[in-house]
Amino acid sequence: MKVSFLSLVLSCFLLAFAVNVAARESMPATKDSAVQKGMGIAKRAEARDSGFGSYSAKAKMELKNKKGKVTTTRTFDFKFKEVPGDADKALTAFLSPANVKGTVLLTHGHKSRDDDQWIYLPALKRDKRILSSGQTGSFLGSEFSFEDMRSPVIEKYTYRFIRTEKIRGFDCFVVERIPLDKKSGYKKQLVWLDKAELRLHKIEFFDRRMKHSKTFEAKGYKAYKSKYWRPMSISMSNLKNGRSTLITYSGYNFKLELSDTDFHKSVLKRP
Amino acid sequence: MVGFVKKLLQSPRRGVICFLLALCALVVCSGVTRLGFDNDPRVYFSKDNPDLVAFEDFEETYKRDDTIFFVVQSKSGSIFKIENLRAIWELTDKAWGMENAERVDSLVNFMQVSTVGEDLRIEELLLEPELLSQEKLSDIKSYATNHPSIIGRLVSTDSATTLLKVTMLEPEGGEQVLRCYKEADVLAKMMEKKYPDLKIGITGTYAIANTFHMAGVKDATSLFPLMFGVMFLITWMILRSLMATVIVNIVLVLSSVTALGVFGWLGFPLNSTTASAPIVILVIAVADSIHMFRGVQRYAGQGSSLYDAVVLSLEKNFLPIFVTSLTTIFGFLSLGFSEVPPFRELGYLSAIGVAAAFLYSVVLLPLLTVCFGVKLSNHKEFKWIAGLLNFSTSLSRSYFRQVTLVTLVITALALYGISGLRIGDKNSDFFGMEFPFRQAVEMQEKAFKAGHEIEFSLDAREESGVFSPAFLEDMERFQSMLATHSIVSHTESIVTVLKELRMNMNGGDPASYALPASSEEAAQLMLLYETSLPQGRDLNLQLSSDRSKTRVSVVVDNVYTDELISLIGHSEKWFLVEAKHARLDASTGQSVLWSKLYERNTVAMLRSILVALLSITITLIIVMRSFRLGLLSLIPNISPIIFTFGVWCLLYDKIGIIASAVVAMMLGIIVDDTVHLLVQYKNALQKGEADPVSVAIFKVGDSIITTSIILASGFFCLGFSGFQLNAHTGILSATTVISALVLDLLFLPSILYWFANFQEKST
Repeated sequence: MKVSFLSLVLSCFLLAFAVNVAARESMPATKDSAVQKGMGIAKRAEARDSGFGSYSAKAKMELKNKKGKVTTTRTFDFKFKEVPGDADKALTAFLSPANVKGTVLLTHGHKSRDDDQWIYLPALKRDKRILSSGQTGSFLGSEFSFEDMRSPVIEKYTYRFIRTEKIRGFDCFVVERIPLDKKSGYKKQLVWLDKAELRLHKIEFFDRRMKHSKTFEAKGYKAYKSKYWRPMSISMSNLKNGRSTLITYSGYNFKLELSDTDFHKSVLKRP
Repeated sequence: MVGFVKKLLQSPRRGVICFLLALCALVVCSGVTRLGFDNDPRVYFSKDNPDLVAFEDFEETYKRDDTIFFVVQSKSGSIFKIENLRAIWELTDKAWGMENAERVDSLVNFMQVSTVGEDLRIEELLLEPELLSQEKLSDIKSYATNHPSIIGRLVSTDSATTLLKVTMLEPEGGEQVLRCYKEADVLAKMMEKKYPDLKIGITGTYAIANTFHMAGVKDATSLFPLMFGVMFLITWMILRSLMATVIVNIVLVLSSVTALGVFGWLGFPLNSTTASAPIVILVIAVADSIHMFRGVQRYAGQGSSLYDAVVLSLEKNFLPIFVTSLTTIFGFLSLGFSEVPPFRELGYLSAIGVAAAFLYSVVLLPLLTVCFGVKLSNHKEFKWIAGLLNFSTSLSRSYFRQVTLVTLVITALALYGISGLRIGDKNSDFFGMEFPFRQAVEMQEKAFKAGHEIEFSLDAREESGVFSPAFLEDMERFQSMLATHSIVSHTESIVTVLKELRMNMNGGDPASYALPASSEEAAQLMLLYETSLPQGRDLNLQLSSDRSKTRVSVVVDNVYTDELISLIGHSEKWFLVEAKHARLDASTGQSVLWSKLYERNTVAMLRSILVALLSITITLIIVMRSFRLGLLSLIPNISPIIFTFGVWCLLYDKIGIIASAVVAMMLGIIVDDTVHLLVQYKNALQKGEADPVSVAIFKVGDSIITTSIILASGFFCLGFSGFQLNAHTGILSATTVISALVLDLLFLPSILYWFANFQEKST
């Protein structure tokens, strides 16, 4: 199972921007053109968000039960860095609850192999690299799974353009993507990207029975460095068990110019 | 009443009246269409039962556990074989794809935490079947057989059996449960075929619900037809007239359906217990009708016209039928004191049915008989009955002392036997061994020494309090205390998880296999654990959302209720005396619910028996206008019940909660024979007969023997019910009826002879 706290943040974002493209209105005439158009949208979306460098932010994660009541709240600081040619690096430090304050997670994402992950537990004053290869497990007891949180690699899916649709005031492309990885917890995903800026607004996840099981939504987009769009909140609702998870972000900072040493495992023990 | 019926019979429009009456009955009966069926075992607990409330609170704090368990057993004795592990992997993988499956836990996807050099490895025990080599196999075996959370829990101590738990979503309805179960069943069968070394059983809450359905279907398709067939045959054998038999059966069916109809209109759903009510009503109602027709036959045989014979029979039988119906109704109504809602409902439902049967027997039956001009064969005395009566009267006349004493001695012996009878009930006991579910449960219980599960919820009384070392220490001590009890086969809590993670965070050093030193350490280890949890699982199964409570799950051997209750009592005391920080918030679980229900019901049961006894005795005293005879009638009615339970404990060593319902119910039914006998005895006595006992026996012997046979065979049929509670009710009732008959023919006359003898001597 993937033990990556870090990737929480990391992936929320990557998820949101994985699929980015320039808008094209015309409906595909054939199946082949739908596949081509789907792939095109995905590639453009990725290209659209690359080049941001690094940033930091604060995040609050709330787990809600069936009745919508918040049962668990956690806050953390995170730092994020783009790695050209590979998946991104992320550092997550817990701020609350008090008894886990100072716990740090470091993730080095990889496109072609399992991510590298480290955890630091301040009470034990110990850091450990965690070896794990699962991905369907829940991320910190939330409705997000590690798979949902990981930066999606374009090559790991097949795409197909489905239709255009307006949601929450945005004209969107609806693209179907099918995971090639057999270990994926999903059979299919439907992705909503707006035509204007290729921001990710919604994903519907379909389980092994091809039943719509979870819905991801991103809201409150703002542009940083005038072109990198980030949401103020993302949420995942589980349609099977009725529970949901809401993550809200604040204090985005794109001016940090973080270096690789800021993401080296030796930073874990630093106070 | 008799006058009213006579008027109806004389009316020229009796055909129309008959039709109108039937129409009224049909309107009442139409309530049947509104009846639902409740499959949930929880119906056996009142909504406000404190134990159920505690259990539901527990489920609210943690999580409702709806499950399907695959019990996988290797015929060759070890699941640690490459082929078998491959099978478990495949089953795990397929189970993930089942409808409503939220999470699958098995040996192969158990999260193995280990130290590899400087790193921490958290991985499923067997990630892919392709990885299986002899070496991997022996690694898995040694890890599994040494891990406290696997051995005795996921894998039996003899390594022959493994459990695969599918955590299911709360079902949306009965249909979905059946569909999901079916899917699991098909999967199990497919796996058994592919891997011939494996035997796979299915248990869990979905299997229980499915078996409720199967048992219901079994009863509807085989028990009801059987029952009806037997009743039809017996009626026909006794009455020797097809027309009369048809009329009797119309009355029977109408009585049952009327009771169900009333229930339907009142908005009660049926459940597995009340589903037996139609049969109980059928059996009791047939007695009334037979009495009526036997009378008609007798008078017609003596030369009366059909109309006169019907009226004569009505006049003669009205009072006895009324009184016996009344006592039976009292018996049923006294079930209203029960703590168990289905028993209360069974009582009310049957009482309504018996009342309906009385009305139909004295109004509709005469009307139908006259309207259709039923042709009756001559009244036929059964020769063997006369022989039996001769035997019983001569025996009790000559040896009244011996018969009385022997009966008393046997009663005393039976009473002694009953004192050794143990009480035990749980969900699986609902069904007979013919159901695959029961077989799977047996398999599971045998392999894992697991009969019951007790859930203790421990309270730290502050947010995040469960992480405090003092609390954890209490918890660990509590678990060691439990482990000293021989009936406890396994305990589980977050303590094991924390210790294991702590050891692995410290480079696998066995010295670090201990409780965390601080709250922070515990909380951080828990966070690490949370990140390693597989899909569909989260900490809320172990911890309350504010982390102030956590649970200790205890697997207990298949023991009796009293041992379970005493373990809980012991635990509660331990927390008061020994625990420093932890408080016991709840001790609950399905088995606990049942055990406590029995405790709760004991007082209620005694109350209902007392009320039944009292109301029946008062009725008898009034009817017989004799205090002495009224009291006397109780003796031959209490003894058969003691007898029955005595016989039961010769056959089995434990009895379920149904026993409490049977006693009160049977009192009202078996007292009838005594009433008939004593009424005739009194008449004979007043007429100054030389041998009033013998006269009385010969007058009513025929009818009490035939009705007892009908009752016993009817209840015996109920013994074939798929629902164990109903089957036991049937067998217990049949035995009671037969012993009541024997005692009425031997014991009661002997007592009467002894009394007469005593009076003679004293005068």
